[in-house]
Amino acid sequence: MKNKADRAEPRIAGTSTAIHPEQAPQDIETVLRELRALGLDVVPGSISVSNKPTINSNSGG
Amino acid sequence: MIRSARISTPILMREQYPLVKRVLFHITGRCNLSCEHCYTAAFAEEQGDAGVRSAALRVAREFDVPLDITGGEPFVTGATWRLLGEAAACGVEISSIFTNGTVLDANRLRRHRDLVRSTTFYVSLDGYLGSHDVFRGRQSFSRALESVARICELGLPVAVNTMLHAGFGPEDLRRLYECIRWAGVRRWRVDTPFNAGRWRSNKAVRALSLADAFEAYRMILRWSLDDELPLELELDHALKYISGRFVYLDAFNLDSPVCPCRTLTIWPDGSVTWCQDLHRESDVIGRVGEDPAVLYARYAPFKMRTISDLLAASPTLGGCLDCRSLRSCGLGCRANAVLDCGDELARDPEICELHESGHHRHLGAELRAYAERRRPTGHAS
Repeated sequence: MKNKADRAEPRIAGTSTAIHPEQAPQDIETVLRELRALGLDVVPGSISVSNKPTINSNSGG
Repeated sequence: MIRSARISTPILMREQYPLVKRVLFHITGRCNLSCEHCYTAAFAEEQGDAGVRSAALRVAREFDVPLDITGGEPFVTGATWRLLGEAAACGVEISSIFTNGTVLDANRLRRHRDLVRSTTFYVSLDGYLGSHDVFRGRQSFSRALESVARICELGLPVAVNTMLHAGFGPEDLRRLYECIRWAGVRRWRVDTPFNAGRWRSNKAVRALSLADAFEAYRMILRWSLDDELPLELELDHALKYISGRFVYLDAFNLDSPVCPCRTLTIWPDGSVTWCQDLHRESDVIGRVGEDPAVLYARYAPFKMRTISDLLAASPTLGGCLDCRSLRSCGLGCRANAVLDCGDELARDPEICELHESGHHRHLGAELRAYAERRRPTGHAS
């Protein structure tokens, strides 16, 4: 059994509040996994290549 | 040269995360059109003079990043042509020019071709014939499309920016797709307008619902997949197809920066802002002639702010911790929060609606159908 320190439980810096695994958008992760299994080259956006709005905005990006 | 400026958070250092990736220069606020969604009303008569141009190039050179040119309409002024020569002389790459395509002098472009070989021209097409013209101005579609064709003929990269609106139906969308596909356009970016400028008063009549917008994205994706992806795509805040790879939604963690769009923006009056879509007094971090290191010191904190930082600072975002979409929305866009709610620490209601509605799943379903069609027959499931 893993001890508490071994658990990769993401926390908000400076607080004791954890992000719980069940809060993750499992459906999106599942979609990505299934698409990859079907042979599609698909990744989620990241800080390098993001789908955030300003990056797409009509004034540049 | 400010090359060594890196974000200090360890996780980001590993990824070598420079905070300035490009300089966006609004060379003029003037424009020959008066579009329904125009955001430039506040600086419409401003134009960057030679001093502002020179200082903008200096900023790009100091940060060792490319300069992108936008407006207003960059080609209503000869200053844009002069800037191309000045940039080449001092070794600054012009990576993008954003234009409405209606006043671009093709002969002059031909003579300047060597200066823009690595420049992508982003031309705005917001409909097909009448549905574009009613949004942007009479005969603007034919002139813009002519420019797209001329730029493509010169072998220069062209992307088309399209803003969806209520007057732009499925048939015109299909015609526009066929048009830009056969012209040789490299990338099609399709989105809905930001809630700024004239769009604030026009959106009540002109805006599409999110459901209708995503139906348009779904159709575009299906046509592209059926044609084996003839051009790159950026569809709203949900899907990109770039360099042969799909980028579907986002995945962030609490240490991710809230604003990954690392653009230092220079306006026609020489003011500099930390965000390319915000130009309030409180968004101005200085003047373009100031020491770039000083500008950087004011700019960097906005780009180093993490999702954790924003959650801790905002009195209204606490509920986001319980939201299953937090890791993919990343608290959305601060420009949207300001433009829609008047508060930089507020929710981005547009990203909330996108995730709550689940409309993006239609794009996932199209991708799945495509992938299944491509599987070799007899492949074990």
